[in-house]
Amino acid sequence: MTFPAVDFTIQGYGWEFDPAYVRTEFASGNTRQRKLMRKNNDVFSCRHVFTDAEALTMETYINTTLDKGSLTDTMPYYISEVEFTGTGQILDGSYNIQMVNNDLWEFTYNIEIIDRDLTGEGNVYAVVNAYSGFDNAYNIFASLEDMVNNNTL
Amino acid sequence: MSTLSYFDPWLISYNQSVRNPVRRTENIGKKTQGKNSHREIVTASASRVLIGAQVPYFEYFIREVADGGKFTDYYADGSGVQQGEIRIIGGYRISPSNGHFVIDCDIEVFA
Repeated sequence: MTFPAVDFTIQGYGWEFDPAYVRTEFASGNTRQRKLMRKNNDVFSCRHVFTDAEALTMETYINTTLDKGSLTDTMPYYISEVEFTGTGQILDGSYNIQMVNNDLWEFTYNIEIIDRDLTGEGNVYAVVNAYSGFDNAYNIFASLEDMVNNNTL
Repeated sequence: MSTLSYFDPWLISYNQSVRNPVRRTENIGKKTQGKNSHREIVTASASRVLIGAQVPYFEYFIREVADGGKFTDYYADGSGVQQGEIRIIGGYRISPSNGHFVIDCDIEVFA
C-alpha cells in the first residue's frame, strides 16, 4: 500500500524548518551561531477533510503500512502549491480525527520529510537571479521565450 | 549579489528586545553595574508575506546561500523601512493564508 491519493491544496498545509543552530551570547562581542548538523528534516502539518472510507484508508495506511509511524515511506508534500515527493514518516505516529459533519472527518497529522531535496528551489533561485529579480520574472512569457530560444535555463 | 531585497521588507513586531551589554556584579554587599562593551544584541520576531515562486527562492536563499549567516535585507520597524544586516535565529515557520504564505521567524538585527 502506498500513500493514499489525497489532496493537500484544498484543505491547507504548512511547514517548519528547524536547523538546530547553537547560539552563544557573550557579555561583549557578537553572538555566535553555528549549525549543529549538516542535514535537517522539515516538518509539514497537513489537514484533510475525509469521508468515512477515506479516513479509514488513511488510518490503515498509518497503522499497518507505516507500522503506527515507525516506518518511512515515499510521501507527498507541497511547497507553494507545487507537489514534491520525499521520504518521510508520520511524526510521533499520531494523528487527530474530528467529525465536522455527517460522514465527514477532519484528519490532521504532521509528517517529517527526511533530508528534503532543494533542487527545485535552487532552480527557481537561479532563474530569478538570472533575470535580476522577480520584477522581470513576473513576466513569465518573456522569460520562458528567452529560456527556450536561448537555452538559458 | 544574492539578496532577499526583491521582497517587501520584514515586518518586525513591537516585542523587539534590546539587550544592552551591561553587567551587574556583587562584591561583599557592594553592587556594581557597568558597561562591558558598546555592542548590543537586538532581536525581534518578524514576519513576511510571500507569494508563488518567492517561497522556494526564500527557502533556498536562507538554507543554502545565507546558511545561518548574516545578510543584508530590508525590515520595517517603528522607525520605518530600514536596510541593514540581519540573521535568522534558528528556523522559520511557513503557513498559508488566502493564497499567500506567511513566514514567521525570529531575527537578530545588527547595527
